[in-house]
Amino acid sequence: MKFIDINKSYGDIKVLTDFNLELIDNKINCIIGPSGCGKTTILNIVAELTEYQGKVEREQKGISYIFQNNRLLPNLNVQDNLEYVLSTIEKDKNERMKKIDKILDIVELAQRRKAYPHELSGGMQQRVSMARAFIYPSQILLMDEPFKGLDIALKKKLIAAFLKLWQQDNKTVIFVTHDVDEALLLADKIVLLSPNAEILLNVDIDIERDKRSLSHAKISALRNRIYQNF
Amino acid sequence: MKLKNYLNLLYPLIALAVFFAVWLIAAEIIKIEVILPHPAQAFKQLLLLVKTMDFWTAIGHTLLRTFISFFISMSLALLLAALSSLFKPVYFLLSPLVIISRAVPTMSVILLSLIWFTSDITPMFIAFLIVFPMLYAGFYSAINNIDKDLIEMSKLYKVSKRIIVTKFYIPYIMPSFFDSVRSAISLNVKLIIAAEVLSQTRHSMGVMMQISKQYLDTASLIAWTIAAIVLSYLLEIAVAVLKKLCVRWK
Ligand SMILES: Nc1ncnc2c1ncn2[C@@H]1O[C@H](COP(=O)(O)OP(=O)(O)O)[C@@H](O)[C@H]1O
Ligand SMILES: [Mg+2]
Repeated sequence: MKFIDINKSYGDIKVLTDFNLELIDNKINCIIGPSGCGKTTILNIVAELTEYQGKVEREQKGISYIFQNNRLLPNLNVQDNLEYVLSTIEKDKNERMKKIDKILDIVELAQRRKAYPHELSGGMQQRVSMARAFIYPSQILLMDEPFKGLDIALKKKLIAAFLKLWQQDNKTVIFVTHDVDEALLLADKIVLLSPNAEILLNVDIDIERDKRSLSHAKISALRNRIYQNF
Repeated sequence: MKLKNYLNLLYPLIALAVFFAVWLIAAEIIKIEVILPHPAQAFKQLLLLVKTMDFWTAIGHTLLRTFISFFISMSLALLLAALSSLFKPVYFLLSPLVIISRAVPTMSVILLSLIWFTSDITPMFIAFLIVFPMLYAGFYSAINNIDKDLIEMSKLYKVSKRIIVTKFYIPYIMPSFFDSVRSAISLNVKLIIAAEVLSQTRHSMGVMMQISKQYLDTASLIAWTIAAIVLSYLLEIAVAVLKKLCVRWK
């Protein structure tokens, strides 16, 4: 996927100026940068949710999006929220239910399938949002700080669930965060943005994910490089 | 039951008790039945009224007028609110009409409609003129307050129009729909009764009140008023129950 000469402003605020970037298809591409630098804007451009100048070149179709604010329908329970994005594509109710059962097991929400969003904790809502993104047949997955505000144990669990789901069909992921360590453990590519969305670093990581840790020599070197630029 | 539920029951009872205490004391002080009858007197009168056929005929007809005019106001408001949310020209066309209909003095409308319509139609017409713009404004803002983020999400996941409308829009606006209906329905009863008085509608609570007044039968007038309050209250409760049945997610 390629961003070519993207320009984007909201009124007088210029967010992206001649932004060019190539991401790796079917890998986890991580964009990190300070708050307000334009990360969400980049995802919205890919999702065609906002106007912009320039071009996004992509061959892949179907987009799932884990929004920064989960965006679950308040009037539908967990199961129906998942079915909502599925029923237009999958006409067979039994098939839909099979998929929902399977994904709810993976995100460990099978017990709460009849609960409405307001009855769930923030972390649970994030898991529903993730389940919805994966249940929808798509080749591209946009994730906007999906692990934000979780305690460490829950974050570990959710990251494990994410990797398990991702390995099933290797969607092209654009994963936005301002947590450097999260990025170091997950990303195949890390792009670091400055406060005005210039690309400060663009590094590919080819270390197997289960061999990574923050004490790994290459990872910790990269970590230092990122912090020097942040 | 939790303490809060007990209090929710208790507060209206206390308010009612205070109201009757004030009434009782005032009646004792004034001591002129034509001006303010004793509460017991009014309720005795109500019990007498309840046994007459005229009472139920009047209530039935007033209720029927309320339902007819409310049904027309509600259907039209719903239809036009949906249309003006979909097509901006409809919205711009309707907004001056709504503003005018709100600004027109109720009295001139009543007098005009007395000239134009029979005394049977007038109350319904007047209630419509006031309730329809209210409901329209309520429904329009309910539709336009639908969370834009959720609409965006639905489009991203390419959910079909049919499913967006049935699984999202309609259930989503249901609570504010019922809230608008609830506050409009008791107003509708009051408007119908007021217009019945002025247009001397046959078989109506309004005219019965008017007659009580002419005979200086204040106890009956208050009895009718109590009947009207109970009627409005029951209608509001009916709407609240419907809301509970239709909205399970709030
Ligand atoms: N809808 C909008 N209208 C106006 N300004 C916006 C809008 N969305 C974002 N911005 C501005 O654009 C900049 C980038 O925002 P965003 O992409 O949300 O940053 P990030 O996700 O990196 O925190 C910020 O300065 C923000 O205030
Ligand atoms: Mg953001």
